[in-house]
Amino acid sequence: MKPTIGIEVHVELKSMAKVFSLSKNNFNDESNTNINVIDLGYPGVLPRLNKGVIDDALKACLALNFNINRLMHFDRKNYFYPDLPKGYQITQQDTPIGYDGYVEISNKKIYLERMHIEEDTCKSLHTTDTLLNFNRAGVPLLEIVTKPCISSGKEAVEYLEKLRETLLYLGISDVKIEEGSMRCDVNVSVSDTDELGTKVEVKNIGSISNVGVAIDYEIQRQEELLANGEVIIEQTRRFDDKSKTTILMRYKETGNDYRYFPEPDIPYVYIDDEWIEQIKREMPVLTDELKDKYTKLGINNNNIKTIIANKEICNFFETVIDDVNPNIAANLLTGDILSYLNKHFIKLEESKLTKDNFIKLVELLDKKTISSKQGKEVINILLDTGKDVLEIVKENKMEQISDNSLVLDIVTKVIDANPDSVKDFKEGKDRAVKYLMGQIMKESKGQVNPGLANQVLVEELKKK
Amino acid sequence: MRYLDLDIKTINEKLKTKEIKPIDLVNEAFKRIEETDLNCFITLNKEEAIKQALELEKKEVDNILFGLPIAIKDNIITKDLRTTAASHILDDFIPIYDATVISKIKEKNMIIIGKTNMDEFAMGSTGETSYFGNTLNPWNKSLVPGGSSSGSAACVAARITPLSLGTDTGGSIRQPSSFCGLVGLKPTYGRVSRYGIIAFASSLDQVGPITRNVYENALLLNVISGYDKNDLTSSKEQVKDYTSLIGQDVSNLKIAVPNYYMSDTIDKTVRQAVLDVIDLLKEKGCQIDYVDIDYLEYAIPLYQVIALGEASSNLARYDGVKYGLKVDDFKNIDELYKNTRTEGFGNEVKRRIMIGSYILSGENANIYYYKALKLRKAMTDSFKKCLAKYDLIIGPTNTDVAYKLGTKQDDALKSFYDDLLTIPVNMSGLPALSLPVGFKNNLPIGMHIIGNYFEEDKIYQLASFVEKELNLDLNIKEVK
Amino acid sequence: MIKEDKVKHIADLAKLNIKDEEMAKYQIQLTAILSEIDKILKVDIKEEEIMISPSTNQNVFDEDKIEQHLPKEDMFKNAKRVKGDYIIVPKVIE
Repeated sequence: MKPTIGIEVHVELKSMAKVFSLSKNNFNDESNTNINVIDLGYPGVLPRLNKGVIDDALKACLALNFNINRLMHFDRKNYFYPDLPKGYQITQQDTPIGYDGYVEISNKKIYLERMHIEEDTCKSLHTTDTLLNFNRAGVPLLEIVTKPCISSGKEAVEYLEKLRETLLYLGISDVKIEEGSMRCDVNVSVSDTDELGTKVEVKNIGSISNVGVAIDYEIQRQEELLANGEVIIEQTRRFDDKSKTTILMRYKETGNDYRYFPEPDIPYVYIDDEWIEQIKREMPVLTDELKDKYTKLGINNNNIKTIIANKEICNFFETVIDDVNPNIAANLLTGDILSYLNKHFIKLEESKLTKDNFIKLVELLDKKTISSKQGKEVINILLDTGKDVLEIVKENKMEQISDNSLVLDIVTKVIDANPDSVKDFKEGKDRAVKYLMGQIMKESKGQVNPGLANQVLVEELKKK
Repeated sequence: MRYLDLDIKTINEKLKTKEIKPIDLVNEAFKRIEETDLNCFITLNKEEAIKQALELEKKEVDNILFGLPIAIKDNIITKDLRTTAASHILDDFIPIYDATVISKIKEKNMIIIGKTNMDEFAMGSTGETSYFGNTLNPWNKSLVPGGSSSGSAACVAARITPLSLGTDTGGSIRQPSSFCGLVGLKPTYGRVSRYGIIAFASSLDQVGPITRNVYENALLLNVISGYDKNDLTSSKEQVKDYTSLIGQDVSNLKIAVPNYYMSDTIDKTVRQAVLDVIDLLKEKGCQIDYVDIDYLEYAIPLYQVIALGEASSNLARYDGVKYGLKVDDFKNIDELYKNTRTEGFGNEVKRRIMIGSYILSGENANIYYYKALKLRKAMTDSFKKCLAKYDLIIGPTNTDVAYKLGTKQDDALKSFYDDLLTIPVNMSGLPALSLPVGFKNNLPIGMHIIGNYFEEDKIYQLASFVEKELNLDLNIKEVK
Repeated sequence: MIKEDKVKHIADLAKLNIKDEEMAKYQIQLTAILSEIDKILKVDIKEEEIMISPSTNQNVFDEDKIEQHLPKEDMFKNAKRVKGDYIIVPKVIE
């Protein structure tokens, strides 16, 4: 039996103003403050059109390999619902800004049917009544629809992660599924013939990983139904987080009649080559390119993943990458620095880390002036206090002894004090070197460069 | 002395010399409202108008429309002044902003006397679909004044105000102007901002002036025209001085008369009045040719599809949630919607939004709506072809003169057929004016002058010439 | 003549109730208009381009900047059911 999956994603764009009115685009502010007569659908009002939203959509078109509808108009989608102030939603039905795009995941291309611009609805709060918050009415959305070409929950998750990453790096959306700035609906059908099976829609899935869980559950449910000779009915289900199953919401109303027609209040938008070139110049570096670059620099895969997954870490990394040893920098950022930030629930930009200090620290480590163990201590002090790295090292007497003659002095002293170990070494007992190294570190209060000390020690022992 | 019977230029001079004050005009207007008793107004702005008139005494008379009383159709949004679109569903609606045309009128220190009666949501051609009762025709109170801008026309005809604003979606300025012996212009689509006009059919609606004569019409158009960032369909085309061609020689004008406009469907006396004008223009040396414009015969079904489709969507916002009529009897959201809308809308509106919803539903959108949009394009191309050769197109505004109130009210098609000759102009977005050119049984006949896009000045050029030559007495001796 | 069911369906699309005593009138009136509309199905045109609006405007935009907001008191001025900071409607259950 063959499962076929299509996914519809809505993402909220983070423009300053809304799409068809110029009130503030931030629905988390105090309820019903970011509103004007347009958002309320007052009699006599007409839509405006925010060019910034079209710019953002064009960036997404380029990043997701869409063809662009050069001459586009908007359409009205008519239905009655309390969260829809005008009784219609302005959207794009006939001429979506993007069509026939794709996203590459590890083993295949996910083909995208279309992407269009539309406005969000009011946020409804359900208490004893339904309360309407118009802050969200008119917030710009992009709807991105795949072709029915996904065949497993795993592929779906990979696609969504890639999509999320791409939109995040474009800087056009927060793409937070928990906060509703990214929403996923999936269509799953299973067929035991060559034809497509009956479509079942699953809504309200609260995380990307749950999209995978929901799809796999739904495939299994439908396969079992088919195996038992039952008929699958077209329906809408929702994902239940507790039981990790899907639950029937309502039968899909056949002929959900949206009465689309072209929006007469908004003139055509013509996107010429110059506009597209302008957007191309503004395009940030996207994750595929970054991954390539980091791989070539020899950064390990785990670190690359972590950096890409944490955009602000990545942004910071990009600002220092040409000035320092990228491997050491990557290790620091993805290791001690990230865990410090997570532990204290702060963002990188809120921390006391500065670019200069970070570069100094990487240099000290690179030249082995301090040990990696000492590096950890420095980071914690640095993030706690914001002090200059060199000062921290000085105050805590962390500077390593890398001067050959000084190292030789210490090594000689330790060898002279431990004739038994020299004897052990001569007899080929390995532990002798380890023991002597311990003594050297003790003697130097940990400040000697261990690599150098080891080298000198072995040379001196051989002379004996 | 009735100052409001004087022409605007004369009033303006008297205001400048302080022979009269704005308050005299305002008082006279309100007195005329009582005397005439035509049900022209839904809401009067008496207190504010008097206050404003007194304040204007301190100001300099800085423009020709300064201090003049004006009446505003009640589908034009006025801040803090009740605006109902003549519908029960909005009968307590107090707007919180001004339409762009209202801001422009206020800038010129004109005085809004009140909000005029109209067909509900501008749907109708007689004024009779108003929730607030029908308006009477001042030429004869037993007749319809025309619609939907019924009150805006009746109040200028009765000389209550020298000027008014109407809106025209299929003929709603030109038809009542014709029935009331007035000059009414529907400007080019996009010439005047629609921001703050309660939408009926967004791609057809346009605001325009209704006045006693051509010159005064052009003066008001000068004020309300222009690009508005709040209306994306408004035009950036340079605003002209629309009075500038008035009085200019017309002998070089090339004029087309569509055969369709002179067919047997049109009353004989009405046709004759237009023929008389044609003779006059020929004598003057104008080139006049009879032409065919394609698809005019489909104007009504075309209008029904496009106007009603758009209307069904535009009127979806009246759901009893954010504003408007409050009903208390409902168990759920669907009942709230249905009970509010069923109680709030009148029959004509219900019928029209039902048709509009239907022709957009399911496959119908493709069968009807997109077909109509293509037909509209084809008809417009035919108009453009004609106007590439001719300066203006003329014909009658209506098939006949004003008729009895209460005629064929159950005939669902009547209101559309009243607009047979005016609808094509809205479909194509052209400017057009109705000018009184004669009488039938003592009732005025209107002639239609259609111009090319943004050539309202040329329409006024011809209209003012005909007006001067005919020199009709359009003052109503006594309103009865 | 269109059937009662169809009138009811159309009324439902437009969110209107039709009383029983009005049904016959609506059947007649809607039938009259719909048969008028059907005339455009017969016209044969080659035109493929649609005309959404007479406006020839293109690319009329605003830059991405915030304009003034509406005070909450104004927003509530015409609303009939208000609770605290919200306009309310009967509970809508998903």
